[in-house]
Amino acid sequence: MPPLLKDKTEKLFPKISSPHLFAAHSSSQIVWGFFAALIPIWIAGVVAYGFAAVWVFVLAVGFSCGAQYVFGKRTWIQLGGAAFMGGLLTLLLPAQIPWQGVALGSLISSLMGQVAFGGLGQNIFHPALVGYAALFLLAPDWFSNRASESLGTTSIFAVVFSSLFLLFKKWIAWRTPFFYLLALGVFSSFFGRSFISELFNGSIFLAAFFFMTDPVTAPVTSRGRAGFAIATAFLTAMLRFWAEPLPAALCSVFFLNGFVPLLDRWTQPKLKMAS
Amino acid sequence: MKPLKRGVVLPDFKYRSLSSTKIHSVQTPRLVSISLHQHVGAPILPCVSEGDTVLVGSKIAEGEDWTSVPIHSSASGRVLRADQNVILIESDESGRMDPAVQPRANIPNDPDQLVEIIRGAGIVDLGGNALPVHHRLMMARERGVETLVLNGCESEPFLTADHVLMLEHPVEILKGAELLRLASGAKKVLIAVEKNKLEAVELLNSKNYYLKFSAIETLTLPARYPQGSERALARTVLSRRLGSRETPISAGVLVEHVATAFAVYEAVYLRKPLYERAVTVSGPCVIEPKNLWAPIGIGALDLFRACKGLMREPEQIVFGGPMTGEAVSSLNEPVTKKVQGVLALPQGFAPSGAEEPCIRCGLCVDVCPEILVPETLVRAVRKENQALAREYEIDSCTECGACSYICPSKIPIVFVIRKGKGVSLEPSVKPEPAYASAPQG
Repeated sequence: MPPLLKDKTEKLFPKISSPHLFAAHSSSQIVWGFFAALIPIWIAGVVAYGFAAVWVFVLAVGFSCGAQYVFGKRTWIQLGGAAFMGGLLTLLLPAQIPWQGVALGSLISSLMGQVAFGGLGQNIFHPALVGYAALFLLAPDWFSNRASESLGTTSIFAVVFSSLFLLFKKWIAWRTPFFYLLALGVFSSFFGRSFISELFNGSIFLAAFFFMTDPVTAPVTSRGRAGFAIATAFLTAMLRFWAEPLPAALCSVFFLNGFVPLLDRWTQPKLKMAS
Repeated sequence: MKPLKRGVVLPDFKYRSLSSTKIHSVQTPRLVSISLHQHVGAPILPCVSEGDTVLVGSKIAEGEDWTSVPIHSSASGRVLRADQNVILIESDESGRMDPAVQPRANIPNDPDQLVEIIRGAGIVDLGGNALPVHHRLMMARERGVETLVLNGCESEPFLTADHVLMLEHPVEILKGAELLRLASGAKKVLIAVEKNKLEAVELLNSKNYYLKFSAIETLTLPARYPQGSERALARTVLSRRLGSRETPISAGVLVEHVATAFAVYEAVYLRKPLYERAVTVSGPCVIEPKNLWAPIGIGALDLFRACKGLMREPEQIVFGGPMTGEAVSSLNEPVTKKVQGVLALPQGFAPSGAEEPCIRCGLCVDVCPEILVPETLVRAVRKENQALAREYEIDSCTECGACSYICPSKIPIVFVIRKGKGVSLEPSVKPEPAYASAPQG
């Protein structure tokens, strides 16, 4: 008898529920992958604004990780949620923002956006948008200066490059940004604006590929995602009458995040067939 | 024809057990233990008692109810124990056949007669759910089904028993398919095979060229899991979705397995009852994976021995495919009629480490072949919200395992849904809850 079979007849094996085969990817891999996808956009920011941009990034990531370390669970940091959120917040802030602003924004993102809801995966609103909205309300001066553009919107090419990476890895569903950009083009033309200038700027692409596709705060059904994208596009087109592209797009995403549970329920795919 | 769009493409791990395209025979072990719970239906009782001598193919258990399926001995020898759960037979290793097992001179084509022969031979669905075939044939005839789909998809990884059976016995399968068609009253037969088995399709087509069964056609489908499930095949053939309470038979499609067709051929042409079946013995731990004619009641250990043993310490023994198969607790666990494969899986197949939080990536929703929302079902079950679970049709889940496979957070979705349906696993052998006993680290 082969050696390994000896003495094995008495061994008891665990009766684990099926399936016994699993895909090789993991959630932390995907979240850290999102984090890595931000790198080209940061580089574009650093090229445009120099060392100040690096400083904003370090502070934002540091404060969000720190806040989750102190008030949340350490596993959340291992999962990469805190770092990714800090990285995303960096992209929304102008380079000239004082360090207190970065700290405040990151803390609000982490604590109000994620920890208060119960950690990664539980939040209804996108945490980085919570921090951005709070800063926008508390200190509008930091954002009003046209010269201090947000770091993430300096180069549309960097945003497109990062988005293609995410699409290539299939970490984001193509439907959401596709329907968003399509609907935004249609609505903009309908409201009498040139859809090329409306669509092809870094702010819109950043919102479409990084804020709408955030898995936690987007619907899970594909029809829900399409509805979410079209509704957001309509709101963006409306808000563009008064607001700059970035606040308009982010505000609509933030607003529609609140409707995601409802959208998921309305678009439950199972057909109710009798008999 | 609408092949499965959802589902997942799995790594197939089939090549090792295909190194020999033959089904090897196994020496009957000294002891076979034949379970009396091998079919879904009325219970059966032994019709032999301790000390009786039985031959290969002798009937050893039967039930009075029509939905019950008799069981036949897979060894010749002496009955050591016969109770309502199990019959133990000590083999004399002579392998003497019951004199009743001999070729039939006149092949009947009367449906009722065929159904009775199929029931008498103890045939259940060999694709893994152990439903009595005669009962399904009668239901199909009452409903007046149009199409009989012969399932040769074998979309589960590791399993190659059907593939090799189609390569070795195409004529028998075609004849069995024609008998099943006559017995079910269907007008046409589609033998569904996935594209990774095109040589089997070619062989079936060329054999049918001479057999001239005009009602039988082959159907090639893309290799995608769970294409080989009954509902997925019915959907493919009907080109529409089935309602939640609609079964394939009520929709006019009877799905049977190619292995069942082979067993029907043997029962009708050779009067051979179902006492052995083709089983894939495979898994990374097995030294020489291959397909074996496993006598019903043989232990997993004897099958591994026939494959030269194990080269790594197995962490799990699975009966069936890795996606829907059942983990068994002991190497002595006997093979039953529904077991398509016996797998020895090493450490690392089950997820190690803790479950990560759900990031709502929606992959489970995208892959679910029953268009459910597993993410919401898991939340509903864990919050014990039965109304929500019912609203999201928890009972429509077929437990194919595609969601658990794809989940990046390694949430045991199928386990949770099963718990929500009120069906929990048998108590784990370890004191921890069943899933928590997954190998750690």
